[in-house]
Amino acid sequence: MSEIQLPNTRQENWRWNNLRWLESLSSSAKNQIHKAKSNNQNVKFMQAIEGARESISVFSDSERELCELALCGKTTSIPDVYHDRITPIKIQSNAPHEVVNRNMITRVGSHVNACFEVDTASANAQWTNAWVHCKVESTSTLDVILPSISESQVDSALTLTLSFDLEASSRVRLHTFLSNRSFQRVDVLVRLRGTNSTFLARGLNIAGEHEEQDIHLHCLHQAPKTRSHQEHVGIAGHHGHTIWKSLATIERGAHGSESFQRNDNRLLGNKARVSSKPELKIDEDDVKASHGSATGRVNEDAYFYCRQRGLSPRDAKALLLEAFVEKSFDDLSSLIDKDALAAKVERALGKVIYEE
Amino acid sequence: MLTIDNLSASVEGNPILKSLSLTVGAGEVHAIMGPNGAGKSTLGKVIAGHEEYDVSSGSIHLSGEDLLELDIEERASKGLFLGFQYPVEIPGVQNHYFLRTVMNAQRKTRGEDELSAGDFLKSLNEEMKALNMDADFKKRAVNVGFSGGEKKRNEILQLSMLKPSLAILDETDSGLDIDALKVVAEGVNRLRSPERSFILITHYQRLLDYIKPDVVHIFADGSIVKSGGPELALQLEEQGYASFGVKA
Ligand SMILES: Nc1ncnc2c1ncn2[C@@H]1O[C@H](COP(=O)(O)OP(=O)(O)O)[C@@H](O)[C@H]1O
Ligand SMILES: [Mg+2]
Repeated sequence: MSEIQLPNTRQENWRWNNLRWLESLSSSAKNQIHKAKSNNQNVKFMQAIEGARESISVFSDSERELCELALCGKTTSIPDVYHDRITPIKIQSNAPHEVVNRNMITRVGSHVNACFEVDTASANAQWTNAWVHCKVESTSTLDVILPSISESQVDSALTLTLSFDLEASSRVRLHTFLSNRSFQRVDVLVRLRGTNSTFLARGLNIAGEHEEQDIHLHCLHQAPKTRSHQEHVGIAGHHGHTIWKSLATIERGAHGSESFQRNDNRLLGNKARVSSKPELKIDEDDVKASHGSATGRVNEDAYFYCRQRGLSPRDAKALLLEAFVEKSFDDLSSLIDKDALAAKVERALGKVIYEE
Repeated sequence: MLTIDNLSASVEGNPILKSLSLTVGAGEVHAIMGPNGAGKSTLGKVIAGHEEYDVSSGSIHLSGEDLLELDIEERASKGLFLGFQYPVEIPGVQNHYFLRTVMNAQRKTRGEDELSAGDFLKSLNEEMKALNMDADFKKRAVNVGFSGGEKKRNEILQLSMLKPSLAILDETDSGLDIDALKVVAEGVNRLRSPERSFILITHYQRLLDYIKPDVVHIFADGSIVKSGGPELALQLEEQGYASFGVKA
């Protein structure tokens, strides 16, 4: 890793440099992966993965292979004792001028209700990169909460891949909250492998001034009667960019499956940007699938209504935006301190509201 | 109370209000009647300070304050209330939360203390009872999924909680069945007082059977063409706008 030139987030065009950096990283990583694979060197391969999160394009075949092979590696199971509390998955990194990689592979046993909080609060490196893979065994339920709203390290980048393999009648509920970092990209790969497995995702991106908050999801329906439901909201502030891309693939044989994707966005201030792309690939006839996306400014009539009733421009916007993001909190595990999370979101919203 | 002098206003360069003058005394109820598109709603929005409308000349004073110098929310906290022709839905905001938030915002602007949660709830419950509103309206999102009549009732609820000195009610009667109309009218009558004035913007004389106005104005093409007592509304009902030289 040491030969890699780090991107400088203080530079004007740093994001552009980052992209180039990621590209170079991914091609070199890909080479290593191929080498490791042909020599059947699992250890080397795992090392390659460590440096290669960005080679994981959720839409590519090589990524599937990666997951496949990673699964042969070390796995940690979550014992039943974690039943009624939250297990933190800590993405820590304290070396401020390094790229830090963390990988975690975990297994949620049958008949288990587990709740993970992916804790990125202490990811203080300039660039933190992590990959968490969860194998969810039959009939178990997994809640994953990613409250990635940094309150200290705004000038940093976080790239994170979450991948889930779901067995029959298992369920994953994912809640993501991305804000307050210069650049965050979360890739979510979900494989609904077992009959009746369900994936539910709710998410919120708040892209503050000059921030980019990016989430990509790929949900593969690989068994009959699988269900995925995604609702995501985004807010782009002054020169902020929120990205949501979601692909649902319903493979042949996954009959009786259902997929729902919804994304709504609000633009605030000048040069706010939204990228929204819901996509469906269906190879099976007997399915229900729908998707939609809408982007706009704060509703003018509602804004005038609030102000006529006495709210300042700032308070009126805050009220309407808080209402707009409200549904990201639906279906949250009762283990989570919702008030603390809502307060964090409220602070992030307070920062992003732009006074025209 | 309210003095409008020679007011002209336009939207996107189209003149809508044309040299309009109107004086409403304290405690008075004025009805403004006129055909569709005459500019009645525009008048309400201009008084409230809607930023889309440009005031090209004239003045608006409320209890001596120059309203044109004030922002929308400042006008509200000076005691101006606009009941909307189409009350806006605000998904995700509970009715009681909205009310308490706006009441406290107005109090803050006036330099008053926040309402205690207990006092607020007590008066909310009383007002809702008086308006025959089911308790579950407290928890529902503002106007979301409300019927036309429920929305208007909710406007009257806000009015009765905010206790403004001037309430402009824009077509509060339209879309109401007779029972809902009676409830709304009773709500307004209950709030009539020597310190509180009303402007009722309406299409039909029907509302005025239940709320007796002191003055009736016929409004056409951006200004008031005739003013008189309650008999003017009856004359309008019988003879139509044409008898006032107004194209309906
Ligand atoms: N925001 C606006 N943009 C463009 N035209 C408007 C706007 N508001 C009102 N108007 C126009 O002004 C005129 C008066 O409208 P309005 O005040 O709603 O009339 P009324 O309430 O008497 O029916 C209409 O011709 C309407 O189309
Ligand atoms: Mg109107």
